[in-house]
Amino acid sequence: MEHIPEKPNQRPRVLIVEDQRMPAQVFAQNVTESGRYQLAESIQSADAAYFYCATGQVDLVLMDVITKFGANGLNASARIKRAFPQIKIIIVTSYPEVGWLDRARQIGVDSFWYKEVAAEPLLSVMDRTMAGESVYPDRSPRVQLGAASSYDLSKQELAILRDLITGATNAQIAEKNHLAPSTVKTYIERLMDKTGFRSRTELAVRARECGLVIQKE
Amino acid sequence: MEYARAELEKAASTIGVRLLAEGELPESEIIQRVYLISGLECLLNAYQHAGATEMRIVILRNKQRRTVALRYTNNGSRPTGRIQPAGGLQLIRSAVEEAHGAMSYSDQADFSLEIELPMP
Repeated sequence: MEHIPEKPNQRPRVLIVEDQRMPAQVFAQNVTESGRYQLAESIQSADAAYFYCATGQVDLVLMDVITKFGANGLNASARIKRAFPQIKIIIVTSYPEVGWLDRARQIGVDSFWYKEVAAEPLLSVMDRTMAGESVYPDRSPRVQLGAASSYDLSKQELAILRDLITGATNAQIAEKNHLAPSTVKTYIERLMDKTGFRSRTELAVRARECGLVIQKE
Repeated sequence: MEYARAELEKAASTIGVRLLAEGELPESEIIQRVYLISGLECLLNAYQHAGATEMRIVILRNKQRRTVALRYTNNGSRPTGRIQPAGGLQLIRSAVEEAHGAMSYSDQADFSLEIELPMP
């Protein structure tokens, strides 16, 4: 790998943003034992990440998406990237929410890593990211929703499902997605047909439980 | 110590700013989040723009009105002109509005930020 300095004081400084104790400890151990990176700080809320970047303490951020107090790591990443595009960001998440990959790309996040199912070790992704590569999985992990796989659902169906879990009515979903209420009704019927669930409530609850779609902040 | 308070103190210590906090912060998550967001933005401004070495936070509960007020000041230099409400202040305003509160700031003499939030 190139551009990874050898001297300890020149090692890239890593900010860990993770509200779960165990993963945070594992990431910190990865960083400190690597010999290639140094731990800048480990924090639980994405709301605090910008501060460490703005005060020049960080070269690389390992950013969870759903963090303490519900602070969204993608929103925090967008703010950091706007102000400090040179700071590298890797999204680290265990949620399979399909919309996050696209959003991360849109805001200029450098890399994306799924905690439980990634084939490549995090340190390798960190090395490649610091060397200027953008490392993204081809797609989000497959999730089973009733009788359907997440790969069986279209982007539009997922968008409607994302609104359905908020408890929105068909009219509200229609307005948000610029569709007719009757079209929303058809989409929901199609989702129930694919998944085999017998009610929209069951569909919404199970979709929320499996993490396929997450309510937006 | 509550998470928000501990996180703010940790952040202040990394830049050598002394934090003087008075009063008790309610446990409500939404209030703690506003405290963290507003505290970090004030800390950043105090350090970067005012060259402050101390930041004072006063937390006042009004039991009759069922509100909590947060007031931030620092010992840095006075603002040289009108403060433009850019990214940081807008972020605080969004968090305050989400908590159904109100905020105001003064740049006429020493900078100060005041936030009032309803207690859940």
